[in-house]
Amino acid sequence: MKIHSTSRLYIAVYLCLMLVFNFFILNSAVAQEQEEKELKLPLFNLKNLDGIAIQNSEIMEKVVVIDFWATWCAPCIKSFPALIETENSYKENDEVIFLYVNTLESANRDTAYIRNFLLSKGFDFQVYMDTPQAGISLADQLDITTLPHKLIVDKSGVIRHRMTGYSGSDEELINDLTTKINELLAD
Amino acid sequence: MKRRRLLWILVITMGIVQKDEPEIPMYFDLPFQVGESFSRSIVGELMEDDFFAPITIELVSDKESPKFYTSDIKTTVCDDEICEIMYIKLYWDLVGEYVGYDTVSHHPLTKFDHEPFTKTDYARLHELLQNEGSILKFKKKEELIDKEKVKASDVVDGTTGATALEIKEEVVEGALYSSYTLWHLAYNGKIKNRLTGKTQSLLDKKLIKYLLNSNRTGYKLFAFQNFQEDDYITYKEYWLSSLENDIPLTRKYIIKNLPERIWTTASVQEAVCKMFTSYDVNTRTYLLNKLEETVQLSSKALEYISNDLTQMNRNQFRHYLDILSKRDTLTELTLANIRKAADDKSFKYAYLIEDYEWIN
Repeated sequence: MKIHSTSRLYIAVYLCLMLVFNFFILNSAVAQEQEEKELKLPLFNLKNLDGIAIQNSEIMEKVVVIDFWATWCAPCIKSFPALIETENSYKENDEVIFLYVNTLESANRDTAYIRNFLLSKGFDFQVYMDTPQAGISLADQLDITTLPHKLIVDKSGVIRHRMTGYSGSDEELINDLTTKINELLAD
Repeated sequence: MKRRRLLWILVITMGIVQKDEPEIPMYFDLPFQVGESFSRSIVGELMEDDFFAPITIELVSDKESPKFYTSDIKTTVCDDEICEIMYIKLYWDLVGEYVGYDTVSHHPLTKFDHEPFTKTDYARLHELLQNEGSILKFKKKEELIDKEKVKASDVVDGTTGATALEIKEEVVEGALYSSYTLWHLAYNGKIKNRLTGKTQSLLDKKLIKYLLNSNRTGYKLFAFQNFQEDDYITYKEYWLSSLENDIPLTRKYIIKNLPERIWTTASVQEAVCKMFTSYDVNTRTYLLNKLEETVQLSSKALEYISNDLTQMNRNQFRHYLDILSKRDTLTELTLANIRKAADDKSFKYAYLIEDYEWIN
């Protein structure tokens, strides 16, 4: 039995409509999923250079500044003094935590290299390694592709601010961070 | 039957069926398409201090011969304020010359304002990567920005400084550091050494012939550079043809490296000297130097050079006359040509002949 040309037209139109419909459904679902993923800090388990781990449970009810950096990223290193100064200004406040997370690191730079690198630059803060788990790192989960990249997470674990790059002005960075942290502390 | 037809329509419309397409790089200068029959083998992995990740190099071959090298590269690009990871696929020919690039799936190239490259930007990038003599070769990263001339209106690099004027023409607008990084990868000496080393290890008669028959200047030069003494006999017509038609660098290489055993043959000397007028000025000088050092010299070869004396510059002409002075025998035609040149009023170096009494 032959298919009439009118029927063929109906089939084609139907298929096109279905495709358009599916496209929108799929896109909105992806967008929604992405939005949710962006808001909440994913589950993580980061180890410092001595192998001691930190997890989500340890930062609950705190404002957390997470600084993603790598040894090859010069702007990251240049921004450290401003970060440390801001961190020191909250030294007495248990509600604020700074996490320095080494990520997207060069393949040939291991923890020993990173430790020496920081020492040679005069930095002695605790560094956590973003080692991929099941092939996925925290940076991957957060779609971090540029460095430096800072997240400011509120007390309920929601990412409220993303800051990329470093303008070169310590003052600007300190003011920006302080304003944002204080805003979240007041929430 | 109808159902099956409908199913096919559905399947094709939904794009479930994917045909294996041949690899079509965005830019690729070699004169063939990368077909499905091409095979790939890993040449090796390179990791240097300044590399972000190991670079795995693949050799792509067809049934006939090796064809080109390629590598998916993951590298870092930083400006003063921000860093990112860049993905690119680079292509080199068999002698390690850049021949093209492609983007890696899901990683289009972007500028520093995060705007994706336009078609013009991609084309410009290929153009600048083709330029082996780019000024980028001599520049350090910190010299790319003219920090003295920081202008808010300058959007060329999208960074805090203004692109140094001399660099502007050599980079993609808005992607100064990406351009710089990619050029230095395309012409990375360690990568090139690895590629040429591999090609060297594959050299056999078939591959040498493939290189010699190619239109790529670099291929011919590479073949000559890897000639064994007997190859100058086997491939005489090839090197003679290159001597006549190739670039000065190749000509110079051939003349300088012709094995003594081959060069002392009268027929070779004559064939080389016969083409004297078609040589560039430097090749002529190299040839005259070689003739001077040669003990057993064919009179006929010297005669060929005498056929167009007016093409020589002053030094070359004097050099040639010196060479002739040291010879016991010269052909009649050689002497006739020199006398003719001496009488030629339009030949500005004719006066030099007066210093050589034996001619008169």
